Amino acid sequence: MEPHNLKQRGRHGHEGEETLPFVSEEYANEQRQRAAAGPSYSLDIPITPGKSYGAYPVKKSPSWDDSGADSLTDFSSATFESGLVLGLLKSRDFVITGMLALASLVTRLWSIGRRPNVTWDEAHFGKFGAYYINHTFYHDVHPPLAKMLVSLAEVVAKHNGSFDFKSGKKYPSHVDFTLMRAQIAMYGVALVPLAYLTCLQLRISRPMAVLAACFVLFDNALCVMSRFILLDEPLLFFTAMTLWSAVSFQNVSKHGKAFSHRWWAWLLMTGFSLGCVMSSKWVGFFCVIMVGIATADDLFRKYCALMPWDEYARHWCARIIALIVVPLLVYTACFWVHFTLLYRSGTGDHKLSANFQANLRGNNLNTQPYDITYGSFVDVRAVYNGPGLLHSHTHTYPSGSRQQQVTCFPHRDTNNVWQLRKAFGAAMDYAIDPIAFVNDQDIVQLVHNQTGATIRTSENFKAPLTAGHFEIAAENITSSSEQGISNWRVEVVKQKHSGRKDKRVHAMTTVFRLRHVETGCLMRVGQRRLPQWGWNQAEVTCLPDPTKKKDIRSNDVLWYIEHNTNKRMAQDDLSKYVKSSFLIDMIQLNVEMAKTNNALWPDVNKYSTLESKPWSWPFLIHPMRMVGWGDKTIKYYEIGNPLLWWGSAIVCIAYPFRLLYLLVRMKRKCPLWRPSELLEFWDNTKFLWGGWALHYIPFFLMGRVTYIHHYLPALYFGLLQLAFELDFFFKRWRRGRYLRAAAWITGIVVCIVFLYFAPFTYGWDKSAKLLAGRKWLSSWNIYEDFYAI
Amino acid sequence: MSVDDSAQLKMRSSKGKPITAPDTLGSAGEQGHTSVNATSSKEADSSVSSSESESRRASKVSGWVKNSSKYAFLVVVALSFITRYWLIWDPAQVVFDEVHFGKFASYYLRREYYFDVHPPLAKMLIALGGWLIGYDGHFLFEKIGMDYMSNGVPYIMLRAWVALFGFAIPPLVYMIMAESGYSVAAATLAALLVTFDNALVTQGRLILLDNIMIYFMLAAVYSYVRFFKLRYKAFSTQWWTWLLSTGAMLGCVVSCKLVGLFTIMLVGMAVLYDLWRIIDIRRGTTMFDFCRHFVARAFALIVVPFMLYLSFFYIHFALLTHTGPGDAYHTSKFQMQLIDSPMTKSSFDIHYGDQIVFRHRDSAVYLDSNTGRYPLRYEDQRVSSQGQQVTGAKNLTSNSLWMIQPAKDQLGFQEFMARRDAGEDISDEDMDKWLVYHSDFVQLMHVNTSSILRTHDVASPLTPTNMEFTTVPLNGSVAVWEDTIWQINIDGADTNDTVLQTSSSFIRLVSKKHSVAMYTHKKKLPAWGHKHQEINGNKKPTENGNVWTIPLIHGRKASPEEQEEMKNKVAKMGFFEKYAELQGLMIKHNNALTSVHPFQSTPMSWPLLVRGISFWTNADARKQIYLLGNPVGWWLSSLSLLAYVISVVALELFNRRNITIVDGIIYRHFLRSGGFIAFAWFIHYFPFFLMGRSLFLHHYLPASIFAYMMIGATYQFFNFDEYQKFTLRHWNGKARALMPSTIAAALFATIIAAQVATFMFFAPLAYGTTSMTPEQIRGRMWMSTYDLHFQK
Repeated sequence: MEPHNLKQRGRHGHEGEETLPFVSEEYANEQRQRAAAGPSYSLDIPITPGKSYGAYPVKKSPSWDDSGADSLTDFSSATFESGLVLGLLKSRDFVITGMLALASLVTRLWSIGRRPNVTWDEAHFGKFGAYYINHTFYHDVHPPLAKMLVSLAEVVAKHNGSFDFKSGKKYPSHVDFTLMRAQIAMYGVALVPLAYLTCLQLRISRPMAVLAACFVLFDNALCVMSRFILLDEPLLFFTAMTLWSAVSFQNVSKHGKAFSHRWWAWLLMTGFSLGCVMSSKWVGFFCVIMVGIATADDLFRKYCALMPWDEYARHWCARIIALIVVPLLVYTACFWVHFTLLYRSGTGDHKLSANFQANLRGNNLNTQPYDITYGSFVDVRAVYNGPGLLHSHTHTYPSGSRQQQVTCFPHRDTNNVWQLRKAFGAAMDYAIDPIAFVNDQDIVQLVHNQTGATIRTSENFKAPLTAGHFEIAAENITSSSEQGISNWRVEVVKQKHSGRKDKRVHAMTTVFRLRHVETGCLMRVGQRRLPQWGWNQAEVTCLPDPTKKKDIRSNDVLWYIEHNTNKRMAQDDLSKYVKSSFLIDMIQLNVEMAKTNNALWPDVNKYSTLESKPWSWPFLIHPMRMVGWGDKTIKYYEIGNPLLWWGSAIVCIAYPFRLLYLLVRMKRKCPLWRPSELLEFWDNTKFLWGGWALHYIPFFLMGRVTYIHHYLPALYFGLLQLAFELDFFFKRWRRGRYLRAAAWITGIVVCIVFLYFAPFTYGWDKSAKLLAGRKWLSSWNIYEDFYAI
Repeated sequence: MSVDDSAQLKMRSSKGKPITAPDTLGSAGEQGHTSVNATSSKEADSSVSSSESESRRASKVSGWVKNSSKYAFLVVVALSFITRYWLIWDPAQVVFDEVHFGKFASYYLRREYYFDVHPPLAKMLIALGGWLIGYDGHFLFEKIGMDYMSNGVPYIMLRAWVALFGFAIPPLVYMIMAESGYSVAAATLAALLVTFDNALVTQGRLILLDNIMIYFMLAAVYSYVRFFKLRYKAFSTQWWTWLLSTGAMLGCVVSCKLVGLFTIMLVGMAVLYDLWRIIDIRRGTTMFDFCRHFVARAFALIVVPFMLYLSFFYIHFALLTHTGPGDAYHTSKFQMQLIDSPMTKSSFDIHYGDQIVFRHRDSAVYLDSNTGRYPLRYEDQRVSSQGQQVTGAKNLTSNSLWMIQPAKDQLGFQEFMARRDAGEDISDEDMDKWLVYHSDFVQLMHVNTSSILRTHDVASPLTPTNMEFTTVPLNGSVAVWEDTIWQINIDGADTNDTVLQTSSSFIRLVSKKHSVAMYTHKKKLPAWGHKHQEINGNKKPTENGNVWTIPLIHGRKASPEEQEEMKNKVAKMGFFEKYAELQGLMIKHNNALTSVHPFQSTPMSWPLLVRGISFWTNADARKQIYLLGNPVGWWLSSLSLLAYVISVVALELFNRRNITIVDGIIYRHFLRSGGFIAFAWFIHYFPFFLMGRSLFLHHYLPASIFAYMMIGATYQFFNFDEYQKFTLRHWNGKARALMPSTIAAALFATIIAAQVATFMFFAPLAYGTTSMTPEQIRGRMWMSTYDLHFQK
């Protein structure tokens, strides 16, 4: 090995130092020279045709392609200037794209309405789509874009929103589920031509680009997931869009003119796709990271190439606008539409603030009397975020006064209702006497509706947890001498709607303190939770004689009335008074989504054939049954095309070793390829392999439940990587003589395997035992149920 | 501190004049490689000239400056000794994890088998100390605060022995810094900061593992630095010595705690970096050379540590020959290897009609039932069956007796039982008909209440996803009958002819109808369930938590002959088999250490020293030991790490635009040596973020030492000491003596003064020898999160 290497080194030693192009030093020198020559920063290294570069003589127009557009050696910038968006698309490409799209249509739509029952996660996403038709607010872990697209499909299919999409239920006649599925399938259909176009941009030869599209076309898993009302298709579609536009942008920026129209078009398109993909599912953020890393790589090269500062700053600004601002705008816009569409009270109300709920039509916070009167039944909420509503129950304190506990409890409950009564001594019949409004500085009593106990406090009892505070308890007060200890003064702090001059207490908008008349202490709630005996609810205490301004103004002594019931008052529409801010609602919704997402931990005690661990995905160890497995029912099995999964897994896992091998060759001064080829290799695979790795490896770190279809975005990158590597190999082997044949053979074999597994993809209505021969791995639960003991 | 030819060549070409290499050995030129020859011959002139100027300067400086490295080292040694051994006999009580590690040492001396998640070396070293001073291991360190004096434990000698390792840490830090090319001032600074760190002092003088582990860690790093400096004398005896020493120390550190893997990763990354430079053809290495380099390192740094690791386990098994508290973690086969194991004493075949007891393997509770019933409604408003309670009890009572009955042949069984009860002598052959086999279907009758164990489709009290366990009266309806049939699944049994035995069979009890396995977990039932553990049906029968054993048959005891017979039946287990089993258990239980400890903390809080750990308190004397680093030192070290990262990024960005701010050699030393330290910190810290187990402040101690070294490194960098003057000395750990500038000296003095003052201020918490008033204690709460005792 050694002497051979040395000889080789000697032979092309005159080429000068050949180090890795992205390891900058040599590259920087070259760019310095180019900078002197002109303002172009394209990254290709000019290569004279016919000149020998080490072991690989350059040959023009290889036999496998006569277009010239794909040849690594023959792209003059003129080709790219003369129309890059469609520059690569000759009439032949239109035909090929069209044919691929047609084939894709056939595979995706073939008997798409065969199973007339709600299948797999249609139960969720079909339902969520219907919520947009009903305009009822719901909560879900995923951002809204893909679900709104589902809704769009339902609107087109003239769905009236009345069907509840219960899992396994038969679709009623008025629900045109076939049309819905067909529309959603279109996103999956588009994946195939997109793969072809992406490969052209990656300079993969045309036969291999078609093969790449066939990989996508003939993968059973991608196909079966495109056939139902799910979020995966839009997600995959936007992921593919992102890859296509990012790769195209790289081409323009390498070979074209910076800041040209085309350049801007691709850059903005990348940003827009990024916005769409992350508005579909949060895994879209891996796309953002992928594009982010590629952008950082690009900008760092420009920095090292001594690009003038002003021009460099413009590059930065352009990317910040297109790749940060635009996606965020898209993301925000999706939520804006989401909030605008869902204006009715629904299942997800309680996840957002009271202000938001007051603006939802039909929510009980939306319809309540605005003015608070004596005798009203009220829910009192702490301004301090977290503890929730003032609460009491029959359980008593284990020490101190040993009276009924007063706590804060986050959920709606009948034990949260309090009646506002006049202070002791001012007897009043709330059903007959004239209506009296509660005003600032009024003295009131709070009587628990369920138990009739009155909130009181005294200096004699210390709070159970917080040192120095008084305990607050509720007690059925009988002797009149004690009644004074339950008097509280209402001190209005803020009138959100009517302004400071308004002395009257209102629902939702008036923030007030409750000061104990006898001791002057303030009712307060903080973060502390009572132990087991207090059901882990928040401790409510009385803060004695607060003098510091900080104490008086702090959130933990502030309260407002969230809900007001009074039969004698007319109901108001609270949305007139209470406004909620869109941005705050959106942030809060995102926080809640994250919480729900993190709560999706696998339940170790549950037995589950559906979940699978990330390590098992690339080699397709645990395919998933999508529906019940009865002998007579139509069964779908989420299994990929094993050849494609295994092939792409091997290629992707081998890639780092391949890179290491290349680097060692460079280090030994016997590089395999010319610098331009190496740069090309790096620039393309950083998207393909990088996309695969970023969409796959993070799942190992996630605690939440994972399913095999989480691998599909990674698979898309993996399939293109597989095609890329095949192309790379066959272009060099005997100068591309076998490239076309290899593409044909591979394509046909893949197609056959696809058809072999097609029963799982298009539904199997006989006993699964009949397909026992298709069990290639012992772990495939095609007909056995491994969890039964 | 290294020579990178390529960088040097580049620098030469860019600056147009040769620059002296920082650590040119005189002998470097003797290397056979031409390229090295070429560079070093050029450097020969400059190194001659620099040594001339050095000798000129040396004639001017006084003797103590020349010898300052020696003096500084001695000062570090002396101060380290004082801080570690100061009142080492106080407190004369068990402190914090001495509970564990003192106990384990005792087990070694008693030769009784115990189980722990950490590898054995450090604990064996503690035991070695005990053995040397003649301690017999009679004390079991059961609770924090137990008295040593009255129990007659030679704890002072034990602590003094362990403190030797803690005592060696600051000198080692000095030596590493000195060998890495730092000046006396920088090396002393780092070593003194480590000397006066409260956490390291607290940890360094008690019977704990961490100081032993840190000692080996630093020894490994030191050896590696020595080895790396000999890279132009590859394959010399010295080179091999230090390489093997690195490997040996790595083996030791990983045998103390599995955290030692981080040190292996550190050295591994440094070796990969080194190999990457060796493979560069411009160094003139042939592929054969490279392979030799590679194989040598692979042998010394992978094979040697692993062999050592294994050999410590070999000693571990050789020492612990008797049965002990660790038995229960292991398979029955393993347990039978131990002398006096109850497995070999009471491994009886179980027959139908025996009254047996079920014990849960992981939580050691007994399957219990009593006349109490499940309450109709639980707190979450779910409804129960109101059936008889089945719970997991800590104590063995007659309520835990269950009679095992066949599910099928009732008639023959009744007759058999009648004969047995009548005291008839039944032949062995007859008895054998009623043996219980693997996968048999059985019923279990609770003896005290004469009711049968049953599970049914009602949610269990605490775990709504699991099935409730209850019992039904003997003459229950036919519909219920199916619920009461259980299959016995013996772990590891393949065929149906495996007989169920007491002690040695690990079984799962699976409901025939519902396919759920009997399961219990640490959740306690409320008062109505006598605070027993909840028992329910787990829908995943293959889980580890479903395993039970049958410790005894009521009224059956083995005769001496039977015991002898059982002993002879034991199959021997080889070392590797034992090792594999123990290693698997260690990893499993380490990951399972998730129970919440009041003093656990998150890795995020460590560099800022947000909270400590209460080690020991004495309420009467108002004394306490509270593990807390030196706040000044920790904050400063975190700051210096930040400064390092920012400077490197900034300088690198400037370099890329051809703007030179710092001289090449200074920058390179900063980048490489500083980078090594920064990476060492990172690799000993960051992985904790990925760990699921409960974590404590003392997990940061290894990283904190590297953070302290970073203060030394940045101190030297920002003073721009004369790096060109580095020379290699022959004496280990001698640093370059330089007269620091006034500012540098003042900075040095300020940092040390602040560190020592803070150390003294917090010393009562570190040593626990002084009682403090509430005011004094509150004065030490620099952060409100320091939850010290006796604040009031």
